[in-house]
Amino acid sequence: MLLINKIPKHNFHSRAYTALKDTHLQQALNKTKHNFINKRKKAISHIPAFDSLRDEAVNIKNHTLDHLGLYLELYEENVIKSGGHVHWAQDSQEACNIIHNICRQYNAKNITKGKSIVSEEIELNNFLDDKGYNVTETDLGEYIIQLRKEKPSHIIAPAVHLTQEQIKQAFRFHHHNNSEAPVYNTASDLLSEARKVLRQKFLHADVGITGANFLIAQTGSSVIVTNEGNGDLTQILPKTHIVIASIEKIVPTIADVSLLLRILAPSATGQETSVYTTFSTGVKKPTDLEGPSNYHVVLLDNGRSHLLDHPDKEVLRCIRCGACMNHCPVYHAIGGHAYNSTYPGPIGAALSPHLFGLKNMYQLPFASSFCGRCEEVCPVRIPLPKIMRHARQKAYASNLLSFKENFLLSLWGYIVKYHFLYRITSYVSIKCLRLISRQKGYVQWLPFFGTYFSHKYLVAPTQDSFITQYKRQQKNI
Amino acid sequence: MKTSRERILKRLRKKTDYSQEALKNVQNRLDNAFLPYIKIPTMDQTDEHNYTQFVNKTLLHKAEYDFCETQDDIPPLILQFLKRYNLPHSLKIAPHVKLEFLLTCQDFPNVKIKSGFAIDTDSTSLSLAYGAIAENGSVMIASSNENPASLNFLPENHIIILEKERIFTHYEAIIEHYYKNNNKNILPRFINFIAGPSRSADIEQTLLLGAHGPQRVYIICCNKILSRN
Repeated sequence: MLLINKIPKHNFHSRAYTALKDTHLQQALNKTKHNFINKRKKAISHIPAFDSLRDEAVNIKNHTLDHLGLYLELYEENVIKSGGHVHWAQDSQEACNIIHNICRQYNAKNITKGKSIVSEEIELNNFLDDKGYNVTETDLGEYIIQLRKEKPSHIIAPAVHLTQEQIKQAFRFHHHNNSEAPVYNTASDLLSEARKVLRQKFLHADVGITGANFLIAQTGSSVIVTNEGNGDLTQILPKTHIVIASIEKIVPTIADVSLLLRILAPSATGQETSVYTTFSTGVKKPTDLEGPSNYHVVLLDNGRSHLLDHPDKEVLRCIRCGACMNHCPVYHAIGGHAYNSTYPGPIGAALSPHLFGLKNMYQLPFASSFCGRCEEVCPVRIPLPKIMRHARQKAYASNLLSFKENFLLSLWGYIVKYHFLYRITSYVSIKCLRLISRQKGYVQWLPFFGTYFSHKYLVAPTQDSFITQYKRQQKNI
Repeated sequence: MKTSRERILKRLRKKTDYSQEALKNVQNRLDNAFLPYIKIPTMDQTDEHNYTQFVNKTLLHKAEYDFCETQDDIPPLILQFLKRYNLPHSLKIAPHVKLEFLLTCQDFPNVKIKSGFAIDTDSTSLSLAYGAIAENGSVMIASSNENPASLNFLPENHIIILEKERIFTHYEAIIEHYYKNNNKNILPRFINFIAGPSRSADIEQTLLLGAHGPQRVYIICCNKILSRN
């Protein structure tokens, strides 16, 4: 078990510190820093007019959100036409209950799951475990963290926080009763073993649960995008296929989904296209030799419909590619578990306060230097820094910050309102910082800022303030 | 008592557009459901150029590829593939009318051929692609009684037969073709777009082929396949 999991859930600061000191995590994160960034850069360099695709993607998502009710009703109509069922869930509890009832209806015992971030949001695995089902995650990364009883640390690479050695330990423990006997020379050995173990799970599953990257209103189809093929085995082999998806995953037509597919894989994994893109529509046809006889879609709201007339509505444009976290210096430093949210990184900092309550998640929007890389790479141009800034303002106005944070922010707010005060403060600060730095050029400690200085120095100003220099120049003229 | 569906839709009716204008917008969207929003470069290219682009891209996806003029050239290519990787001489093929010639083919000495859906012990499967996309180098397989989807995922080796004339320029074009020519505008249970063999990078971001689906994907593009029907 990771050390970080022993820290109280909502103490982001402690979780971040623990993450910074975790050598395994830092080793794993070092690999991710450049990998994702370089792959995306290379992929989009081969796509002509990538920025035009992004603009069109924004238009598609805005149009869909503006007409979300109509498209959801059309989607429902088309799912029913193709022999499926649509269930509406207002919150996590209701979604879990619906899925439990469907499983009970078909006397299911063994369940396989494809990667679904919405199922993580509603904590479906814990719920189904408690009800006595055998639930197996089939995406390799998800399977590894299920063995380790952890949560995903990234929305597309759930085990990105683990080293190969940690994965070997988990496999030895769970597949070989902790014996030292199995020798895994390479990562391929681990993959082969997982393939063998999971193949049996696929073959004996009564129900397969997948998420959906998109739901197409025009055809009533759910679309999944994977590289491993686990999602497909999950939805082909069992008699019952359940899709759990949030309401904003709807897109109107084939043309809309095609355009979004063109930006999803390059932004996520840096591939031009994922290995498998699958459209599933309804139940198997009467003449089909295989496929599920039962097809159920659970549409989850969980607070999203309240966001539709909110100033932060743009956050619902997200297509869950993970590009924002792949480029975030804060995520690179602390990984995903420190956020303690299903959605880590910048999108998590923007979305989590809306989904899980500002009181529980108010610290996340502060986990950003506002460098703007997240907004720059977002394929649907979500203004993430702006949304995080809104959450910060709300957290301050709701008195959720500590006394020290509140006091310093209030003081700062007061000073910047009066230019005379501001000028005095900056003049004094510059002089003091220079004095304290004692010709070294940097400051190692300041009262109230111990935390900041435990990780870095502050460069002392070498020049006077702009106003002082300006006035001096005016005098000389 | 109101159901959750009613409650959610009530909120959506309040917060999203249900006006006459909105209905018109939605209808307009549906009327142009297959029209790409931007010009796809492959739309302006010649068929031959698109064919070359498809081949180049599919090789980049790490699929293996061969071309043959007639369906009589397919069995030797399959045999070579099985021998190349020392694979068991057995084949599970899709029960498609256009693949029936393989069942009676004399060029398959000592190869056990069965048709139907895939089971766990099948090592090599063979299916017929509905078509392919030049834009991104993927092939599309539409499930039916003639093309069970399990063939695309269960065996370790997957051979896909593609007819050269079925290389489409882009996503929208191939789905529109299917939509308008099959099953009265209802999509099949599965439409699979496949771009190379299955893979995972979940272990320290190391790319490994053969995660849960096939480890090898071999595409044989044939100029024309003649079905007996």
